[in-house]
Amino acid sequence: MTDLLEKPAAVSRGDWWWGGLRPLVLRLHFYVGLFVGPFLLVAALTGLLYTITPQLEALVHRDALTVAAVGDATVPLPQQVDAARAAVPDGTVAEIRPPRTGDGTTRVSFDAPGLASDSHLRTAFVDPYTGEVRAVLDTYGEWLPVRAWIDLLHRQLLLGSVGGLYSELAASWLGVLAVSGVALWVVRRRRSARIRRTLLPEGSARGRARLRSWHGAVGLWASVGMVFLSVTGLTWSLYSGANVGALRAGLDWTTPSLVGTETAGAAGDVGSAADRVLTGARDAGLTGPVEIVPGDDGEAWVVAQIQRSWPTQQDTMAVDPATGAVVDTIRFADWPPAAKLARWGVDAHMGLLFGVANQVVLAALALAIACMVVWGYRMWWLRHPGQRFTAPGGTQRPSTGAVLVVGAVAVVAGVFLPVLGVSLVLFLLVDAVVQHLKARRALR
Amino acid sequence: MSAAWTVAFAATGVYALARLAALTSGSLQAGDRLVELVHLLMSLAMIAMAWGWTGPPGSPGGLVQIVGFGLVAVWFLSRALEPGSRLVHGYHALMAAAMVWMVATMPLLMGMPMTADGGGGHGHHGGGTDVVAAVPAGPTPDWASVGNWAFVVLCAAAAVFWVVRTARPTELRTEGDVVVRSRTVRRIDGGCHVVMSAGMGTMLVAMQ
Repeated sequence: MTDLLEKPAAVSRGDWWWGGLRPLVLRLHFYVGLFVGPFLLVAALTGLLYTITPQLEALVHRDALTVAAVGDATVPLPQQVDAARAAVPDGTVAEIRPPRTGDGTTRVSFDAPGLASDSHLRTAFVDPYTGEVRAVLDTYGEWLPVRAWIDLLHRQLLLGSVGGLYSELAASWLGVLAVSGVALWVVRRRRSARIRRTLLPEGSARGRARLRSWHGAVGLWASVGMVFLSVTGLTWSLYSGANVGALRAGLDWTTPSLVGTETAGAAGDVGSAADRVLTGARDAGLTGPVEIVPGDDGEAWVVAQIQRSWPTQQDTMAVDPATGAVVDTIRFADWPPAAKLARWGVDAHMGLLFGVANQVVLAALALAIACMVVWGYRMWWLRHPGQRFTAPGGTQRPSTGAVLVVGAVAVVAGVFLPVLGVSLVLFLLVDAVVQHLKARRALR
Repeated sequence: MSAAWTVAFAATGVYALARLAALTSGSLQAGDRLVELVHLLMSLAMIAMAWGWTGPPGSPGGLVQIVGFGLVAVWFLSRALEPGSRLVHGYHALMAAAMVWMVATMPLLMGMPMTADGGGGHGHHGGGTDVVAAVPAGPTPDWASVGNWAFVVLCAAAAVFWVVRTARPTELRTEGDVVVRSRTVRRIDGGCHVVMSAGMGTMLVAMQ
């Protein structure tokens, strides 16, 4: 069978660098795809499920999130907080969120015994019109149980922090796959219709050539999204995320915070203090959905905007709980650029930034990644059985310069992204041992 | 000393990477990719250790080094039991074992806790500086001190071995009726081994 896409062409003088680099990039793309593929597939499919969580959460937890009937007037906030405290008597108020919509409930979240992790809270959902507690649920940050479950499935396969290694492995290598794949696909020589054959799958091809054309074309369109998911996903991860945090702290790119701001006033009753700080923040111009975070004794309470959809509203005020006076303000507009980018990046990765359109794009990206993994394995399976574990590219070897440059980049990347580094070292060690044993067997 | 170790092991690391690249491309035929890879990893690990970046044995970084270099030590020990280059393979097994020893006994020799403060998303790679409430330095157990000095002596002996090989890089061998002068080591290779042996030995001394 003639593979139109495989026809060799003369190497031009300008290709001296690619000639030495291509064998290495091809092997890298092949082996990373082969061994990291299953993790990418799981991350893509669980990520696809995550794209519908806003609607799923609103449906499954409708009784907690919305009131039975919209009244004419709301019950005072202190009364709502007292109702919540009566429903969670062993908890300490950690956060209060007034309703975002006319038919929404007030959320009062507590640190309480028996929570699954430090990131979980016990939340009472209060009808603001009647003061009745509609539900008490354990929430993961601001996510209700169904969304929290899917979130933890995508991040950690519900296995705790150890399970997070799978998503960190996927995120670490996804960017490498995307960049190496784009290089292999775009620099590929085509005798005719170069632009069309680069951008679109080859309709007339059959077998592996057809699969490769779909894998390459879809990969090209999805590459920017894949790099984006990789970069933003790594900021969450256990080991790479810590390095990102340390880098941001070192460069003073962290998200500013008012937690811990000192004040002389005493808070007194939690509900009354919440009412005072909310009124003070609203009078000072803080609009939109907010959360109220109580401070320790001698600390101001923090009232922060919580809108993560565009246009992002994340202004924060530190308010004296005794008087309601604003003692400090941080505007989102004044955040370091890196902190803003991190906020937008995380929110876009979670499908929050641009609403339904964001969710649709993420779903398409997840499907694209899943398809590419499947096509990649299908291409691998269609290889001659004796060649399945032999890297493509035949006997072509990379140039010393190419290995040196890629090696130096790998050292830096491996140090900053430890899971990438350890997995790469593991592969290289196993590969070197296998090559050594093969050579020894050949000598006998 | 941290700066000196960094310069020394950066040099050996760059050389190892260059040889690994040449072996992979085929422009260099004589050599062992696994050995050069381990040279590179050890150079990086020693630089990280010089600045306290890798954490005590209970930390993820410590565990990875103990397991990784432990397997490398076993591999080279098995090769040292086969005919051919026994001394060199034995040397590599010794260096890998010394890495395992260094990471595993760091708390005992330097008075650090066994685990790093790495709960959940707060995991850090700052080594001792990130450890919460470090255990006050107590006396080092005798067995740890004796073991450490044993490794120091072995590293010193290894450094002398490589100095000799570097100074006399060829040897006479008899093949049948013919006496052949063959190269045992390139001078730069020997020099790198001297640096690595001396660097390991001095770091073990500094940990006492």
